[in-house]
Amino acid sequence: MAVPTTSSGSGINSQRTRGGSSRSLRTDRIFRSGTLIAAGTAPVLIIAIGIALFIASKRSIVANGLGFFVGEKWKPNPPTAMMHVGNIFGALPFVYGTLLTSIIALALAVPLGVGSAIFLAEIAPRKLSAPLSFFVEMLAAVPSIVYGYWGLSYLCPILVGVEQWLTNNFGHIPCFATTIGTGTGQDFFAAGLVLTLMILPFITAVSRDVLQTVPVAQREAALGLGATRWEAIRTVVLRYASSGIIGAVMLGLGRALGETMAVTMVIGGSVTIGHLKNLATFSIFRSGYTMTSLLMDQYPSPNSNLHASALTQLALTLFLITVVVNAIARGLVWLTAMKAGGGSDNSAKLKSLIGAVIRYALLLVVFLVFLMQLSSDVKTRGVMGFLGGAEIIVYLMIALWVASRVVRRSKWQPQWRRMASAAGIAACAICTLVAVGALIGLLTYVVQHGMPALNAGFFHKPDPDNPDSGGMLHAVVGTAELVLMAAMVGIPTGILGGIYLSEFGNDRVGFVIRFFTDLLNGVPSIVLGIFAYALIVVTTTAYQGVAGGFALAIMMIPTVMRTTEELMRLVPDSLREGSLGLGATNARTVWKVVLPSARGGILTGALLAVARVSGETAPLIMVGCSSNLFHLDPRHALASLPVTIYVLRNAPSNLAIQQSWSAALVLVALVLVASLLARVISNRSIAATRSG
Amino acid sequence: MRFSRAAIGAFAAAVAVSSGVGAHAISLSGAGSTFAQPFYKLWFAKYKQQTGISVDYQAIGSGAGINALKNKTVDFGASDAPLSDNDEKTMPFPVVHIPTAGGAVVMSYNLKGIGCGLRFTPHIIAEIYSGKITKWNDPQIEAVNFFKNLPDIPIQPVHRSDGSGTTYIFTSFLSKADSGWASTVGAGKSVNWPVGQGGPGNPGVVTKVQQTEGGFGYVELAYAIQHHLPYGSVENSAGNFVSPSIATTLNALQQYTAQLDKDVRTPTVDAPGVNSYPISGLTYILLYQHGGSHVGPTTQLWSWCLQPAQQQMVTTLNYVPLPPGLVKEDLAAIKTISGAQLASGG
Repeated sequence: MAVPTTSSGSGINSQRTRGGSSRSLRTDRIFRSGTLIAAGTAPVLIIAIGIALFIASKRSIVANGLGFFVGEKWKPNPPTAMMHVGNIFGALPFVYGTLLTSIIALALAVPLGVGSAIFLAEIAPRKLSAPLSFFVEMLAAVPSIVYGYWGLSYLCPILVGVEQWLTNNFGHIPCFATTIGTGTGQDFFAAGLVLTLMILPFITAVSRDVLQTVPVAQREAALGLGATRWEAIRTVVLRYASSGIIGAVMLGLGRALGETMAVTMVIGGSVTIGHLKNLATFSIFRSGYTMTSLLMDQYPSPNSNLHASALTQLALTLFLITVVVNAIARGLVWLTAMKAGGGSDNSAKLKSLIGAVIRYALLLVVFLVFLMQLSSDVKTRGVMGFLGGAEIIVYLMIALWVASRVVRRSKWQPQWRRMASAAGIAACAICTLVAVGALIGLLTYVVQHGMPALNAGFFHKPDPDNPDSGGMLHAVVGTAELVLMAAMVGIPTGILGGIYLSEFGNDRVGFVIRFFTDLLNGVPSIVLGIFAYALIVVTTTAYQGVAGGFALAIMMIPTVMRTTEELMRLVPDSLREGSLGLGATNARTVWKVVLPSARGGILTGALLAVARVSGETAPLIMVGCSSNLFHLDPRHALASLPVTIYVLRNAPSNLAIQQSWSAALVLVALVLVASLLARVISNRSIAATRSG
Repeated sequence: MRFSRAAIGAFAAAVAVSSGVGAHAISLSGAGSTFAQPFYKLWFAKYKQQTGISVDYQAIGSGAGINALKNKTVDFGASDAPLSDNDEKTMPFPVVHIPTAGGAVVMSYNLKGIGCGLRFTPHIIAEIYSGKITKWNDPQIEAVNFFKNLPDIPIQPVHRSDGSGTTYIFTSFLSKADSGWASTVGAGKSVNWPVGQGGPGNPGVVTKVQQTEGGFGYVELAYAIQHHLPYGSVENSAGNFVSPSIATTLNALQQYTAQLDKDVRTPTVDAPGVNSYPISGLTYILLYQHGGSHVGPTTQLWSWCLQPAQQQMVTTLNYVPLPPGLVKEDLAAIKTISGAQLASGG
């Protein structure tokens, strides 16, 4: 994972004062503007996406006005003589669904992820933490469609029972109340759980990187003052890394907001919103829609042009929300990097104030919920209601809290502190165990279900004479072709842009471009799909394959650009100076000296980008890139592994379902091998660059 | 930069391969209805055997099919819902509707120990999907099913989550047969469902009904039979409870032959006649009136599909062949397409 690089003096522009012939200056100018154009694709794309979505949603903006954002009715069919209301588009239920699922995901993934990060960075011995961190990082690349498919076939059936139990025991807490039994386990809760698993590797990996930037001196000082290991972590390390961790969490939130496939497959699909009049409507056991899953369901098949336009406006709304969230996240991560020695008194005061407000607000909510549960239990079960399931847990927690207050002032204090330290460390270890266990469970499930049909038949062409037999070769080849098309555009653009950022990007332009690149990295893939559809498929009335490749290429650019930049910054300036001193132009220096030294790292970035896009589903479906024939012509829709999984997930034939699991397995293997390669190459090349 | 040169070589080779392969072999492309997918697959497989022309058919939903046609990304769109007047106005070019076969949408359910044959009135179905009837032993359901022992469990209505022609047929039926439904929810490919969960495609609804005890959903007859889901009989406009089958659906379609001749888009739901199944519909393909990219092969394909042998094939999958009168109207419509070629033989 990328640790934010602070702008050092590296790059060529610090040595631009030397003279040279006019011809070499011209070459340099051309070189510089060439790389600038590549780097400039990020801001240009962000603006272009905004404009394209705005134009396509103009009809809806005019027709619905502000009602779009506050309306809670979604009635997509036009009014008739019998029915006077129709064509009403209110986005509130989908914003509600998106927020609710993201909150559930954050509430679970943040403690688990930060706990695991603490364990990996601070507690575990290196022999254990290195492979575990590696495993977690690789899982960040597993495609969302695989998470969704696992959720649909494994998690949801289990959740039916779990939800029933929670409703029976804690049904008076609004979020566990079921208004209408969904019975399939496909609801906000399921979507939140799947999202948790998806952002968990991400939050863990980034938080771990942030924790590792905390200077050793800080820990040693705390330990030297007599703090226990846990106290040092809690009071010094975590506090030091707090804004970086918040940044990591916000980046995770950005992912959760824009996630499409995993959510669509498990959320149930109905227009749902909570009402204050009836608190039970806030139940997380109701089926719903997020913004992304509604787009997935209705964007390919609108009732009318107005309906299509309203859906595009929803995509625009999602785009703006994620841009804001990612901007805040980037700001926070930068703040940590720039601070690099602790903030001022004022910011510390403000931070502790905010912390206190959040803490007391949470306490208040827990207290109110507890009262609600208690009163209803006493009503239904009499005095014995004091001993219900929720109550016991709360009493225990209160007892623990009181004990901590009392013991802290007694002679048992040292023992208590040792116990608390052990408990904190154990909690972090348990977090890691849960996180890694869940992820291993997922992989095992995919392997178990994917192996049976993963035979020679899987790699046959599909059989048009008997559509229910035949293989998946078309999907394998189609995926390869789509990724190849994306790579041909995305990798060169990314590398050139990365060159600009590392060699010329220490000024304000570089800062802006870097910022927009990070924003582009956070734009939901479904939005990119809608953009590519509007740009290519609508205007040319064909070229779905090209449009799919284009959407994937946009996704590759930020990853490649930022890795290239970071790896080129690692190349020692002495190499550049040597080359320039021998009279080479800037262009020649970069091309012949810097780039070859950073080659391994650039390959890493390219592989990571390939891993990321080869599992992408939503943009391909948005541009209509879905086929069941074997062909290689990108002017038509191409088949691909992820879309095939989505189409076959509840196919009527057994073979099709088995093959869709095999497709998931192949996809996971592909992605994991690509990340593994990336990792190996990057380790080797960083070592080589540093020693060279 | 040794690796980059090798990589560029690989790219170039791949481009050469992809452009070379794409050039030959005609293949037609279509997209849309999942309702019709099973027998289209059968037809296209046989057509490939006979002519060598393959058809890439994507069952992505009727609405998506129309959208693909509008964007001219396919040779034909397939939809269970004809274009509305408004849709036709916004189409950038004129299109021709060709009904290709009929089918029934059945009310399927998942109740322990109860097989096929529960009875539903249009009003009961509308009330269930409005959230007004919530239990299986509701007095209104018991009144028409006095011979069955209905359990005291909640009804879990399931509907399509994606925009679809099946939803259009189903909601058109409710709008025609129940005034309450017509004035609140109405008809469309996607509507604002008052209650219930969504499932993607016919298979998605089948899966959800199968997974949920007390589940209730509308699916294509063929899918219900294929997945052994029980389904009920529905009261028609003559007041009879009719079970869905090829014969009862054909009855319903025949009632509408005359109206279809005037306007091929007439909804065929809630047909008159003692023995007509009321939730019957046609599935259409949409062709360009002028200037599609493969007019000849496409019209040949579809006139071949209308031949009696092919029409008879659909019954093996529990779909309904077109009444002979309607086939004649179809062929006449295909002839109006500029550049049309009809298939020989039959």
